[in-house]
Amino acid sequence: MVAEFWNIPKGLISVFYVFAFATVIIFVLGFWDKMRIWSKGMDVDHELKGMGPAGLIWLSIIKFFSPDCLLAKRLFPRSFIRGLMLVGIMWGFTLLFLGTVGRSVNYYMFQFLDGGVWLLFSLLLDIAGVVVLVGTGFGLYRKYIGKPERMVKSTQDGILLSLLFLVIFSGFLVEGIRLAALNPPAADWSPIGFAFGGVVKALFEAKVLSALYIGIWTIHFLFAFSFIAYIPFSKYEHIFASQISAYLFGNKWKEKEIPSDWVFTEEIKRRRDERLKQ
Amino acid sequence: MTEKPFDFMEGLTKKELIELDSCTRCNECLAWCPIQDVTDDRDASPPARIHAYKDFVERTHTLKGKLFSSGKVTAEELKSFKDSLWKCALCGTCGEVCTVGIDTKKLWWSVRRKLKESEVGCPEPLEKGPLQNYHKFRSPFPFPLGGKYKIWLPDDIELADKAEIGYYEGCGCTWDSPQMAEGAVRLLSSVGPFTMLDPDQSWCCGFPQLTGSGEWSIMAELVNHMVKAIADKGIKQFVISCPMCLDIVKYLWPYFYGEELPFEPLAIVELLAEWAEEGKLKFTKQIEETVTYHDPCAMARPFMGKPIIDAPRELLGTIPGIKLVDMDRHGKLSRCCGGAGGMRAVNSDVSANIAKELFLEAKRTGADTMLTNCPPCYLNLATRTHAAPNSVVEEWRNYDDPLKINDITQYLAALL
Repeated sequence: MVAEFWNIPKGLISVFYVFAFATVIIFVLGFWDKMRIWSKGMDVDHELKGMGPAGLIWLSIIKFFSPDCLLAKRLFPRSFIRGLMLVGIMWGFTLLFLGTVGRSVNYYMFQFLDGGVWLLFSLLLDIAGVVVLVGTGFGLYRKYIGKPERMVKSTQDGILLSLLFLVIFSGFLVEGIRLAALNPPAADWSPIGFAFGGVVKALFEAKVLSALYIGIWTIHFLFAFSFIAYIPFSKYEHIFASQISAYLFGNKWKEKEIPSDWVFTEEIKRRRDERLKQ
Repeated sequence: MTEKPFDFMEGLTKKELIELDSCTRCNECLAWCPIQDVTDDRDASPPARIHAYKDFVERTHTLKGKLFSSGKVTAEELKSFKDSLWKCALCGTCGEVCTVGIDTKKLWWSVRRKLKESEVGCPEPLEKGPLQNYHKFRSPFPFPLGGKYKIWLPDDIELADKAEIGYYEGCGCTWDSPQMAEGAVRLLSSVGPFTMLDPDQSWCCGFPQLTGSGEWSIMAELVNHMVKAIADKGIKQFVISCPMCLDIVKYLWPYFYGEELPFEPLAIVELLAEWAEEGKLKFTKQIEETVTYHDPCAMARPFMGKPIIDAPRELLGTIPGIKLVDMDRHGKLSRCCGGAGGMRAVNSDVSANIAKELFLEAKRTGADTMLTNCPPCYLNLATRTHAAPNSVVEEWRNYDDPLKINDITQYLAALL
């Protein structure tokens, strides 16, 4: 059975909703601002012809679910391990996002997460979480320990990877504490959370679990909302952009009768028009 | 700052604006970038450039920029960015290996054009050299066109007044690598009649202005003149030695001309490979040699056109006695020669060091000769001459190396 807001005081739930609302507003403003910028570019690429913000968002979604993007087809030939890392983070993050949407539907609209469905759902999201955790862990390792010989240094990259890692890690901790405190049947259908719960049980007495849960839950939602709000203002906006670039690059040699993305200056256009009139 | 703030977005395409947001800073391109092979200048790397320009756009156009920055880009920042942008030979390897498919070669081109419009302009050697020369001579070189064929056109080669096959050597061949043009006309004349534009009518293709200085305003006049001159000669196949000229002529000229060109532009190696296959091109001399072929970036990773990678290999494959061995990096991932994109003029030492890296890779194949088919490649590798005095080149000149460097057409013309 889904346990939304278990053990959370009503006041804190209100704070949660305020933060959630603010996060959505910040995300939407940043995201729409970015789409507005893209759509203001010169309208010369035939694949993007006439597209406004809504069209570009739709293209981004369609191309995100294309095999080229989901299978990281441009990355695997360069590095198998980094290909696995990207696919892991991308698939895991997508599943966690869809899972969160599912839980929200289940909580606010109609219940469907029950019995076997809930157990499978829990298992799937646990696997997704651990895949993202391992992926971001590898990313941090690559950046700070096994450093590539040539690298453009950026503090933002470290912050973003760490934030994503902490979102997932604190999520498992929240789940682990709840499982440790409640000992629900079939808890092992959330194997990673169950394992975290085992560690929590070994480290903390049962009487502190309730307070610990509230603290870690608060940290978890603060990490998660910070991460979401930061996406359109950070390098993670590539989540929406890079699949379009990969798609356009793939088309580069296909439509070559006339180049599709040529840019006219006004003067050149005027001269060309004059010549055509002659 | 100028009175009206400079607009970093105006004139960029939707694709280019999306590309600015696409870079994940995965650093893959750094492992392949020829500049990074010979310097530690990370500011002159593709991700650093992309994020710098993206920052300029965001600062001046987005909500984030308005809330969290001054909303301006200083002249110092722009100057520093300019230095990084021209420390690039536009070889396009970064785009080829980009894990998210950013078409960097074109992006650098567009951003160079933007900077040319800004207060910092383009680097002085390019502004004072090719651009001023163009306005005076219709070529990036400081010489009148009238006598240009005298440099390399052999006395025994006869040009038809009009012919279906027309040859265009490109300014780079004439003034920098005339051996290429001589080889090409000898091969062409061995098969049949061909013509060329009258020298004073044979203007620059526009490539150096577009990619080097970022000056695009000359294109309409240039293209209209050249298309008319070519049509007047009755040319149906316009055969070009310089791959950069080919890319511009084949894929950009139609835009400025406004319709399909009344002739077919093609690379000299494509036509020669076709003729060799058909048995029209015959070689009388024998040779026993191992050669390696350097794919020029303008053929392997052109700005717009389709890569030309097989044709030179097919051509060489028709000649018994020639054994072709490829370098580790060949085809679409071939190394840069360091000679293009204004590098020789603006960053002479870096350009020479990059050429040396390619030379050493070719040596590792054990080949007797490295062939190529591009004026800057040939110039940078074979003649090792640079615009500025250059310590690297001086050191390199004294190498006791058995590897010969030649242009493919010059090499094959010697076998006629």
